[in-house]
Amino acid sequence: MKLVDPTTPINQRAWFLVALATVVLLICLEAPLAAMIVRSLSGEGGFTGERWFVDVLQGQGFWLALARSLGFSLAALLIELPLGLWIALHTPRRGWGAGVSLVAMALPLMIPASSIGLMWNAFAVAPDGPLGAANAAGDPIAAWAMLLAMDAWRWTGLVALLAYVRLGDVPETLFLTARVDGASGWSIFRHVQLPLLWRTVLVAALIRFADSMAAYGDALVLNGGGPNGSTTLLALELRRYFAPADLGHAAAAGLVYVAAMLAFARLAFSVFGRNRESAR
Amino acid sequence: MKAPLRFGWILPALYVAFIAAPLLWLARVSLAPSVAPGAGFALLPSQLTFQNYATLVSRDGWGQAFGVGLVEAAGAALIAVIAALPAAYAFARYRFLLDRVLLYWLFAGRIVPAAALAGPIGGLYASLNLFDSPVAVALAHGLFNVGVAVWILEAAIRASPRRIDETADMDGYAFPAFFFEILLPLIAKPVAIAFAVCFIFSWTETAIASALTSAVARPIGAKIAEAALQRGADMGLLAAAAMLTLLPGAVLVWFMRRHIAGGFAMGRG
Repeated sequence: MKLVDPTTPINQRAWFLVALATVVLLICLEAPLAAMIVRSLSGEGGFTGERWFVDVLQGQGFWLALARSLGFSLAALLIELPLGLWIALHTPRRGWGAGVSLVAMALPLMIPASSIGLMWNAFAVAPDGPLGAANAAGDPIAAWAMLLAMDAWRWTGLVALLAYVRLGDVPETLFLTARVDGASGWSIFRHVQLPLLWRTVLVAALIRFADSMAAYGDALVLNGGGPNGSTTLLALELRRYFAPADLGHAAAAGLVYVAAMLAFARLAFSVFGRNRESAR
Repeated sequence: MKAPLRFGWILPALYVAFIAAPLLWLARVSLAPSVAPGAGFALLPSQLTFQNYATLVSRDGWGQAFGVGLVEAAGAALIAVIAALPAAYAFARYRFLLDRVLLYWLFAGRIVPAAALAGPIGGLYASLNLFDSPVAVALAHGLFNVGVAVWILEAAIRASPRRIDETADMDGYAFPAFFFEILLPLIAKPVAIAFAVCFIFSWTETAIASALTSAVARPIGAKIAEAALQRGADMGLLAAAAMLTLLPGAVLVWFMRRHIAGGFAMGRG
């Protein structure tokens, strides 16, 4: 194979190179999607048409869970983006303080979802835990607070890490010079650091939105979507549909959920794609 | 310019405390004898014991679940990196029919909710007689891992100059020889980062892993989820299991603290 053709970098033989990745993706994503489509259109008596979709969209459970997930994602973004940014701006660049801070940011990203749910159940929901007095096991408002605290615990570090790494691309003297010139902390942030960071914030927002809309394992173990279903996010609601062997209904609900996230992925993809162009 | 720096350490210190507090509580629960619920809050346990850890290694296949989890995560990372390496080269160096479409679907695999696909994935693998096998979990995690690995590796290959390819071509290297002898050593570090990030994505995922396994191939993360949902779960034992699941991450954090962020966001923020 000729490696490089500087005049026309179009080369259809590149398909040999992407073949393996394509096969893995077909097995992992397209095949389950196809299985879902088939299931969502059929029942015991054969083809059922739009019946399961009508079921899902006319019922209350799906919409309520969707509203909870959207509210959860929005709240998580509003907490984690400013907090992560703020932490990144104040985290030291050198010394043992920097090392400890970086470990605190990264470690929560590397723990299984179930362990995080279990830990936060013991810490914040269990009546015998340090925050047991808040009664998150019985009070929906406290349960929401703990759910959001858990999410902030797990993901704020990601936002902070991204911003911290981006800020590190710029010589510190730039900020110090501005300070010597008499600029206030806020105006340095507003006119020097924020312009530098806004694309990082956008990327963090997109990835955090997608991940919080997909929240499942940690929320499930935290409190099972309780009390009385008040914290049942979309993925947890979907789990309930599998229980009564209601596979058509579950597949239709899952498909609507996945289709919405595929549409969001299309939007996010254009932003990520532009990121790559500018980084060239 | 006096005030801003003097108390600058307070915020990072508060954040570190916020991260440490639940972890310390988890350790405390794992090191105490299990008490009946309703005993009330006590900062320190009445006695310290390693009983939960002893039970963990000796009973109910917890040790095996830990090992299986490591093997599956390593397998998932290996599959992802092997599939992604040539693909990343193709995306970095060529344009071809439907390249944007394929890149979108790789990206979409990272965005779609894995929990929504877990049920159908379980059914699919069961019909292929691959249910409860480590290979199934490692392969199924390709859903998000291949895209992540392509994203990291494509950036690395794009950053290495085309001149390398051209020179190798003129020197008479066939493509495989060029790929393995010249390019791969050049991007060894990004390859290691991609492997580690995929490993962690797989290690932390529990929805697909739960749907695909029962006794033999269930990794420790999924086993904790399953056990925690049982009535009357032994919190001391589960806390000890959760402590165990911190280990791989803790080791990796140390080696990767400078590269984690970019990997997790799939790209260079």
